[in-house]
Amino acid sequence: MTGPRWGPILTEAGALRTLCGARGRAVARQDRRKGAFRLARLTLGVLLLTAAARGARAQAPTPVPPDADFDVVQVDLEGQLFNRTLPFDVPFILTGTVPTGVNNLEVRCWELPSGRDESSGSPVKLADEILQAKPQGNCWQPEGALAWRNTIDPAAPNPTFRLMVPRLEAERYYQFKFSFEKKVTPEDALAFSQKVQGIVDGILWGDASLTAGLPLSGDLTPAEIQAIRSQLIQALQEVTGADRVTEPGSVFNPDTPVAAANDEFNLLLRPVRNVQGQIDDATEDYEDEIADLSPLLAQLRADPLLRKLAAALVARAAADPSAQDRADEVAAALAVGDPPVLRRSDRQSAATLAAFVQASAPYFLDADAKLSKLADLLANKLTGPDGSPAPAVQPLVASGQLSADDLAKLAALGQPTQPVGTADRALTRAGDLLGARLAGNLASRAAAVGTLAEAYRTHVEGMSIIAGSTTGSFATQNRNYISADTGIVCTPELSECNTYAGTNIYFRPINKAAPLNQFGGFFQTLDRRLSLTLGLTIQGVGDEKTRADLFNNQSLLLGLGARMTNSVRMTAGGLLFKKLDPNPLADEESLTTTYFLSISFDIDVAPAMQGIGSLFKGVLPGN
Amino acid sequence: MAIVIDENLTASPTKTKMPSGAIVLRQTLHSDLGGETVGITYTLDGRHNVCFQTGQGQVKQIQINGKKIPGSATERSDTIALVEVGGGTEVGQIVIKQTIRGEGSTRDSVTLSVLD
Repeated sequence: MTGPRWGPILTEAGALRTLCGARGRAVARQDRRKGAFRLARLTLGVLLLTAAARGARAQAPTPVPPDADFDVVQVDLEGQLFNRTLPFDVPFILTGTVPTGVNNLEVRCWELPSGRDESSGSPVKLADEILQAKPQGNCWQPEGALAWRNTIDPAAPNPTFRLMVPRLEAERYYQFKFSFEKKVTPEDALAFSQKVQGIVDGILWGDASLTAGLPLSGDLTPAEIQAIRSQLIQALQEVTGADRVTEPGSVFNPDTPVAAANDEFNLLLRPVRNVQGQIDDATEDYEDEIADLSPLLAQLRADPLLRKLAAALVARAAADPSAQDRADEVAAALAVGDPPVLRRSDRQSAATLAAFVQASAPYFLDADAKLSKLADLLANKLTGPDGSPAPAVQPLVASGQLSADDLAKLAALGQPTQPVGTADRALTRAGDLLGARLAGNLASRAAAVGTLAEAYRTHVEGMSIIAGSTTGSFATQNRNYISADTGIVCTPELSECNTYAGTNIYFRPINKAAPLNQFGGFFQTLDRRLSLTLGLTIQGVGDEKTRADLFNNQSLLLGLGARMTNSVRMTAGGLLFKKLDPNPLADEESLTTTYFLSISFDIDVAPAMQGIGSLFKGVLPGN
Repeated sequence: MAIVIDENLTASPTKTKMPSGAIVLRQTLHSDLGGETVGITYTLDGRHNVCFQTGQGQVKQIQINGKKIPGSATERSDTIALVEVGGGTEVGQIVIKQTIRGEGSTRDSVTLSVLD
């Protein structure tokens, strides 16, 4: 069928202008018939050879390797690198190893903008917002992510994944993200629990720059819970390298409903928050205590009756050393300073508050002991049950340093509800408030935080997470503009067909491994088909009478071709050769052209058609 | 302030839905005066819509007067119930604040988890 089609095209093309006269017309007619016959044979032969070559290839006994016909690209997830430039227009296999324990892997791809960063010259990377706006990538819509599932053994060391990646465009930059699902290891869980302590400790206690009365107490709101949840999720991601948690129902899984997460946090955080409220109560009680105690101690230090007692005891001790201890006790009690004031800076964290408690303990131990001795002296040791002066103070009364009325008033001062007794009780209560109640609360809080951290350690251990690594920008190949081919060129005006070898220059990168029909119809794929062809005839077109070859036995072809199939091209253009003067006495020659039509095959399919050259040798005109 | 808290206020149960059942509040305390009569107030935050359910209706504050606190550490308890007034509450935890007024004032509190 091909012969008759070719025949008229060539034979109707007319005679070469340089032939003349009846002989020339007769020769031309004869040549046209010979050419048509030879071309029919040649075309048939080529088709048969092509079919034979394909058949032979299909029946080849050699085992087909797993990656046959596909480019294979190795990816190093740790190094975030590919081992080669990415192919374009054809699917390819992506392979590499994933960490032990990985159950499945997802690959997402984003096409980067065509511009480049002015400073670095690198492709502009997509901002996080853009990535998040298209979380499934935008290379393979609507497929989204590519997925590989480890069906062999998740415990096997460094399992190898293989993924078929859909075709990418030529001369583009892409950003890839590899996400693999794995379980949280015990080591990661332990590291996370340590972070939990820091986060819960800090957030639940509160920010001193925002809140005066720390620790925070009162009702825990959903907004606070959300803030804690966000930080815990971030901490888990940092520790494990996870992008997201996929464990169903986990508070760390963003898909878990807020209400369910709130319930869990309310339960887990309640003990910490509860004891913080009690710490706040205790610190307020302490502040109330010392608000009353400080002026009371100042009042005692200035009390004239107590100063009179102190002076009398000092005077008595000079004469009677046995009175020295009493004199010292009263003097020491009246020298007790103000209690430590709890400042805002002491409440900025559990640690600073604990430090305050610890630093205050010696004061209360000392002051309470001194006031207790004074209260005991006043209430129990100045007078007897009947109100008469006790033997130890009789000399003071006898010498007129103290009166019986003074003693009665002093004894009253030492009663529990009177100033000295009240100060004594207040010091005891304040000391206990810090040393027992507040210290106990702080210890309870630390234990509650520790319990919470431990709860989360066990909660996250073995949990499924998606970890990821993002590659930088990777380019697809961009140098496939030129191909080489060989074929048959026919010049109707010369009534000849010759073999030629040529170079095709495309207007865009071409991957000849990509079937043209996958990109659309003929005209939709015109940019992938058209090329400029520059070639040389293998056999000469010269007849040494009317024409000669441009270079020795070769003439130049220049044309515009279109691929009909992946490897077969039709080209039309001009053949450049020398025209000889028909006058045998003249020796002049000039350049001239004639149009040509050609059919050619890519050089890489030529080996499959071994022997075709000998066929050409026998049938081509001019051979 | 003569009341000393020996063991902080606790609630049983510590988690509840709304309306709650009976919630028992317990505490161990003593008076450093050897004993005193106190008034105990339980208060809920006015910014949310959870109230105490009492015989007199839904209130934000409960006052218990005339309670004798001995000089030795003694556990005592009160029973309360909580209810939402109007729509569902936004809060996840409810704090019940306690003030004991005797010679002075002493504070304590307990936090409950409110489940959706």
